[in-house]
Amino acid sequence: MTERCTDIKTGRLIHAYELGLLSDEESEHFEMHLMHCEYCVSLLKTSSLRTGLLRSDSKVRDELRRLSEHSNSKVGWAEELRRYLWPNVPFPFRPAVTLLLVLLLVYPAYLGLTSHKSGEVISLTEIGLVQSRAATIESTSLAAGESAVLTFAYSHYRPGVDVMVLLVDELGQIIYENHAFEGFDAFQTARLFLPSDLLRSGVYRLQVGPAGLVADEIEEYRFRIVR
Amino acid sequence: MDIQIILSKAQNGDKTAESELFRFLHVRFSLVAQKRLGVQDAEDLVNDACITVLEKYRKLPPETQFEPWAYRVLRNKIGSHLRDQSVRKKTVETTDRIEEYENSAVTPVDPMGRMALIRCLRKMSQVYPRYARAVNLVNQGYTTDEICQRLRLKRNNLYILLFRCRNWLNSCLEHGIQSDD
Repeated sequence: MTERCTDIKTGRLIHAYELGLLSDEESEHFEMHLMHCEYCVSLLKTSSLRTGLLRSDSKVRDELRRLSEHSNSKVGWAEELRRYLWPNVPFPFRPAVTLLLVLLLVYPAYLGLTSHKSGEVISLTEIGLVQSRAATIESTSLAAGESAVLTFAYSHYRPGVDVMVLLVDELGQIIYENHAFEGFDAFQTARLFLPSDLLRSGVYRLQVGPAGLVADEIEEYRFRIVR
Repeated sequence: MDIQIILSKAQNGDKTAESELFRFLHVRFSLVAQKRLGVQDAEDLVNDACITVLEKYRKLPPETQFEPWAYRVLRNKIGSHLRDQSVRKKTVETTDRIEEYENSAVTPVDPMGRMALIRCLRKMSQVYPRYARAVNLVNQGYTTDEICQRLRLKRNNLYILLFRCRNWLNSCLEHGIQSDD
């Protein structure tokens, strides 16, 4: 017996041929195929008894009728859903598996998107600090919960040299301290973000200087926050 | 062996090849004729068709392909047999037909084979519930188009379904019922 059918497309008609379902033209085509396909001839020879049972044995026919009625009978929506989600097909092709995979892939992405969406929009005010010898201190009003970005310059800034930035309130309490501040750009200016919970109403002093705070290189800015 | 080689040997007078050719034709002709006429009527007709082919194949023009020609010989024999039968049927009394039906040979059934088939059909109805319906409709005499309509299938899809079911059934009968199906 040869291993394979010589024309698979025609070979697929075999059971329809056995059951007598092919049209005259299709039957003729299949029978012509039999003339040169050893594989299909051997399949037909071995299955003739079984086909006879399917077509004419009373017990087999009764069983087929019973199974047919059973498969045709109405089922509840739950059973229909189960059959839809979990049909008897190879495991990876079951819709429930696909659904689970989609959920596994989509849900984290959904969470990522919603976490961005649900984040509050930060209200910011930019406070430009300018060195001044005037006695008056510039005031900036901040709404409740509003944060601030301080923009300041340090004329002694040299790339590669550590700069210390210190922010203290009027009571001398250190609000922010960084001994190696790296926020300077090529124009010797920097920006410092201060979240709203750090800033209360009052006067603040920003000191910028070399890491050891050498007195003659310190630059100091004062500003008032009004809440 | 390739039929063309057998044929050319037979045409050159090789008796063994001619016997081989006869067997080749007999197997195929029997399948076709039994399908179209039933086992009883097929036997004589197949022998007749094989003899006709063996008488004439040497005189075949070289451009004629052997297999389609041999198949055509069989089809002509079947056609004339069916025509004769339809003429004869008109004259046969009903009682004769009943007698003929009762005397017709019944293929002996292997009870174990039948049980195995029923078990596989039950199992298969969970995988391919439409198969039992399709065969049941065939047994009830529905045409292919009616079956397609009832099963909501296109003709080609019905054939494919039947092909898959046949393979499933074969596998079940050969290897037993797989628990993981």
